[in-house]
Amino acid sequence: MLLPYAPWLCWLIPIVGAILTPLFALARRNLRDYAPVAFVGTSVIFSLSMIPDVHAGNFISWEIPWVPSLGINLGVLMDPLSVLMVSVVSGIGLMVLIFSLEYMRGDAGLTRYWFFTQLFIGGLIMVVMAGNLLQLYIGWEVVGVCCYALVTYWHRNPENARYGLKTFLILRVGDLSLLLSILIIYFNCGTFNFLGINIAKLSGSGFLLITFFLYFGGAVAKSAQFPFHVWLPDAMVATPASFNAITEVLAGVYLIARIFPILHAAEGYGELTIFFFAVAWVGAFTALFGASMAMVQKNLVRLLAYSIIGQYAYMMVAFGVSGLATDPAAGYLAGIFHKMADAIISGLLFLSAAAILHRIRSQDVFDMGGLKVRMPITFVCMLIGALATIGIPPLSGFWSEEAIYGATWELAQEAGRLGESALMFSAYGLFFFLMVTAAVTAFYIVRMMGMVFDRESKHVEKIEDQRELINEVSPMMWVPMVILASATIVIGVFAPFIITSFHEFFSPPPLYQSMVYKEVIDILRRVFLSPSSGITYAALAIGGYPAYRLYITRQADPVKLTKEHHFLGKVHDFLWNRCYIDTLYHKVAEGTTAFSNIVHKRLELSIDALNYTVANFFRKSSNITYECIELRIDALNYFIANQYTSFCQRFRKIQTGLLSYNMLMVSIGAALLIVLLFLFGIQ
Amino acid sequence: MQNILLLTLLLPTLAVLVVYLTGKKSAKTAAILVALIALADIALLSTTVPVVLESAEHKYVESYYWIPVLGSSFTLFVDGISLSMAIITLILILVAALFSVNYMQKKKGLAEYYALLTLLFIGLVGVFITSNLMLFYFCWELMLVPSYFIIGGWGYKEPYRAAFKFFIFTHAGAVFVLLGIGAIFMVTGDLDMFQAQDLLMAAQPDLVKWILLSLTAGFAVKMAVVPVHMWLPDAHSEAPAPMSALLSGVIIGAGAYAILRVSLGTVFPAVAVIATDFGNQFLHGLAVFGVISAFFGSLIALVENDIKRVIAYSSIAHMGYVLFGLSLFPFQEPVTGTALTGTVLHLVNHSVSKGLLFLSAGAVMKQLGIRDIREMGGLAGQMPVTATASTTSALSIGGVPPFACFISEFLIFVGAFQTINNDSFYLLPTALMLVATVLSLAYALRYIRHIFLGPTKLKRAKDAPFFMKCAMTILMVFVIVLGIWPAFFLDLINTVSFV
Repeated sequence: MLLPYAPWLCWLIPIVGAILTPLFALARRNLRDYAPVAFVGTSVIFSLSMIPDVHAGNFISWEIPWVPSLGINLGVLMDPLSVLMVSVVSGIGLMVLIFSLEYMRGDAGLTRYWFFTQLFIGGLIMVVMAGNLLQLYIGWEVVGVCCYALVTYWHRNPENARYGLKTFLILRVGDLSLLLSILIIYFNCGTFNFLGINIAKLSGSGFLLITFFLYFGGAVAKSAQFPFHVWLPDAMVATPASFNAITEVLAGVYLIARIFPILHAAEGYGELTIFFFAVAWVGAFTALFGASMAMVQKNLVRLLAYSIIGQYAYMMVAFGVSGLATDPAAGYLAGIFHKMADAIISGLLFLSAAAILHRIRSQDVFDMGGLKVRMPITFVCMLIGALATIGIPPLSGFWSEEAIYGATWELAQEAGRLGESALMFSAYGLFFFLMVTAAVTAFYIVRMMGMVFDRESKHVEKIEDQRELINEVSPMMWVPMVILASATIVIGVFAPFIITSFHEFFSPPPLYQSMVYKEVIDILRRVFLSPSSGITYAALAIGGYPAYRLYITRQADPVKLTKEHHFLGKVHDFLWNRCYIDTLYHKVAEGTTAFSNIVHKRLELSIDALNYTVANFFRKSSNITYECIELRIDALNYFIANQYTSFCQRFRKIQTGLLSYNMLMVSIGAALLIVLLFLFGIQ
Repeated sequence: MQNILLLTLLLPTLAVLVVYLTGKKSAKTAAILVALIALADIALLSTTVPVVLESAEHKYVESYYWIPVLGSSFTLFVDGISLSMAIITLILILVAALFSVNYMQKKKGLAEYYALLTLLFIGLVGVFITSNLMLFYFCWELMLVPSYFIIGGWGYKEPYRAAFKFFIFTHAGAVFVLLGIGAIFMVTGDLDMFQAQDLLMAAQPDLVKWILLSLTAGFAVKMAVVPVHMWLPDAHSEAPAPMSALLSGVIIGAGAYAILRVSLGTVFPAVAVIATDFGNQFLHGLAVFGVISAFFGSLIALVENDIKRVIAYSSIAHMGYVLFGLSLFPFQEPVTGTALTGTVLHLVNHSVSKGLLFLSAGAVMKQLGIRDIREMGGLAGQMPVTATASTTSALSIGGVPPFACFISEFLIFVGAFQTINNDSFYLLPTALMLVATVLSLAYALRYIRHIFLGPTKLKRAKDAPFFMKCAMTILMVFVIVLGIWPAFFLDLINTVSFV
């Protein structure tokens, strides 16, 4: 409706807002606090305005020259995927900003907070709208800088400073990988534009697989997949909790979603199968990995962070599966749908968590408890988020997760029919991983809810004794939560209809071929009558029931359990230490530092010592020259001078200075002269 | 106007005395005078921008009658590269003079300090805008002598030791340069860079090889390439902050410029024709030294604890990038100048970013009186402007978009990839350089974390005074603007073609 400028304005406005924030801060404090909401709100309007356009089949790829001499352009690409993502990003961003108004009130560094959150939202929208790979990369990096700035937001805490470094450095490794792949694509296809990516040329030069693995590396780091997952939990603990709600959409999963249709459109490149296998298995492994570490976390934010890692992984699995199947529609759309649904769910969970932190002032779940009565709205919102994460119908998470399970199951079936046993076993393997993850997810979510809301805790009572009663947060905070919760319910209830229109939405070319589900009934049948859903319910029960008994009805003490059962204790320790992967990275970092120290001591200092040795050598030789030659010559000089002096000294006796002697001598001389003249002078 | 470039040099020359006399009365006025002269010079030079961009030769030349026995006239010229370097130099001088107002306060002999700064200014600008090798050498030495006295006179702990080391190293380099220039004159009978280029083709191959090596070795010392970098950490860390900014921003950049202009521009085309294999090996050698410098500098910057030595080693690392970029000098077919453009742009961007980093480090040292980064911490709250300046420049140095250094590093890598297509030797160096970029972000983040983040250790730290803030803000604007909109310098640099 607001074409053709909407694709530009939706990301430029938040960036302009960010730049203006310091000026507003100089003028009025209230202006500084409320202006961001207005800026991002405008951006939301522009984002949403594009939905009808795209639905009508409009498609924009518009580039303007940026560095004309090098052919680098600044562009936007408006297609269903980008418009959907933009709407989600700006929408959740707006909710977060409104929430932050109350949550961050009175903080000393608020100018910084508003500046970086707006820049973050603007940068993220730029990533999503980017028309070419280079702009996408630059957008990622801007987002990375904002992440770093927000992780170190409360910079006085030394832990935060450390986490900031860790976050940025790990993201950097991923970015490097992404940059490399972009460069390879540029050299083989001659352009940075998405539409110009030419699989045939890449394949021809033999770089196809390497390129997309490097590209995947960037996505893995950004979406915190194994083995680059280590930054996310720490980063989230350090950032202001309200901000975390938007990080979900930072998923590098978008990178895969963006490039997937191009990869799939190019048929007949067998090596891409390996790529999709990698995507699916990295996803499946990370899903289980993230979920199992979420089981033992004591820190509420870290728990949710691991949960998010698991959710990203689901999307990876979906894209991988979709690439392996003959008809990509099911998996691909399941992935995107899950991305949208889960962005809202995680936003909801994190905002609720932030509301709890706002009252409790601690991130430790053992400090919480008994909040069901005290904060009823927060409880209901978080419950909706939790149930959606587990996948309880009819919430949105149920449909999206079920779609992924279904796609995996169907892939296995299809491979079985086609007689590709390797693919079939692989697909069943993926399905098995997903089921275990579902069970584990049910376990940790129930545990979290039990710990936070159900139990009575001494900490809460202490706070109430000493400071104030813990009660519900103000409407400024709960309204955004309620909006997100209602979105979760609405999407869930109307899911079959949404999914069909979703599929229509994604059908227009040029990036997408036909990927359409026909009827609502198709979807319902697929979801409820497939064997996969039966297995899923069983898995949920297996995971959820023990947690229910342990943490809600409290029929056994989990701490005692881990102590009594040696094996359980071991598992707990292993997970608690994050499978020792962080330790490994620390070892690598320490190794680099140690190596640098060695270089410094052995090489740099010794070269410097060598310099001084040379300098000393010259000084010494000068000394020797001075002593042996210079002084000798000088001595000779003095010798000559002295000899001359002493020679002269002998005549000195004559010079007595007495006038009479002098006159005598003069007369003697004169006499001698006269005698000589007489003898020889006469001719 | 016909004498723009001569005026550009004449203005500071005449001003030396004025600055000295003004400085005797009021140091602040002298500083502002220096800044104004720099500004006037920028204005003068910018009048040549349209000529450079639009004329057919992309050059602006002035020629005067000089020592005719030496077979050349006093030639001043600017093309895209020298204009970019000269402008960025003037900007740094302007900023350094402003920064000095507060930074050098209460120090003795400020009249001499500002007079020396003006003298240095002639040498710095002169190096970039002459094509006469004799005059070039003259300016080259004129950079050295005032720097020696500034480091020695107003430096830290043992300033004269560092200054002496600096002098000995770079002067030893200058001897090689003089040798090379003398040999060029002997062979060609001409001292003009551009005329000598063609005349060298007729020379004996062996002699030209030695000329190339001698000149490059001489310039490499100024550029602080490992292993002849030893003067740099001492000189940079002992010098007063505005001088460090100039040293690291411009003077080592002048070394790189000289390699590009004289070694590669004047001598190398002849080598490429009459001794192609050697030419190849020479470029490969540059790449290897570049990689070594980049790694060496980054690794040591990762463990240094002296605030200024960290930055000094990072300069060595960045000169490694530049040397690597220079090694991609386009003499192979098909020719694309991306690497060259990126390299010169990196010199510009590095000047601004490193200048800012040194100034902000100077502000920290001035306000706290300590220089061990382990003793600092939590200054972000107490010194917000300095912290923002440091973070901006450190991230730029770490190669993070949208700050300046990213775009030039990126272009160097684009150029490297293009070169790999022709010459597979570059595969390994390029890969290693990419790894080095991670290390450079690592030391940049470590630097920020130690100084500005974490718990507050020093209770009474205050933010920098007015002029220092001004200076840092100016450069900060440049670091960001050059990162987002590099087109101005890119267009200038792109007008130059060496082939």
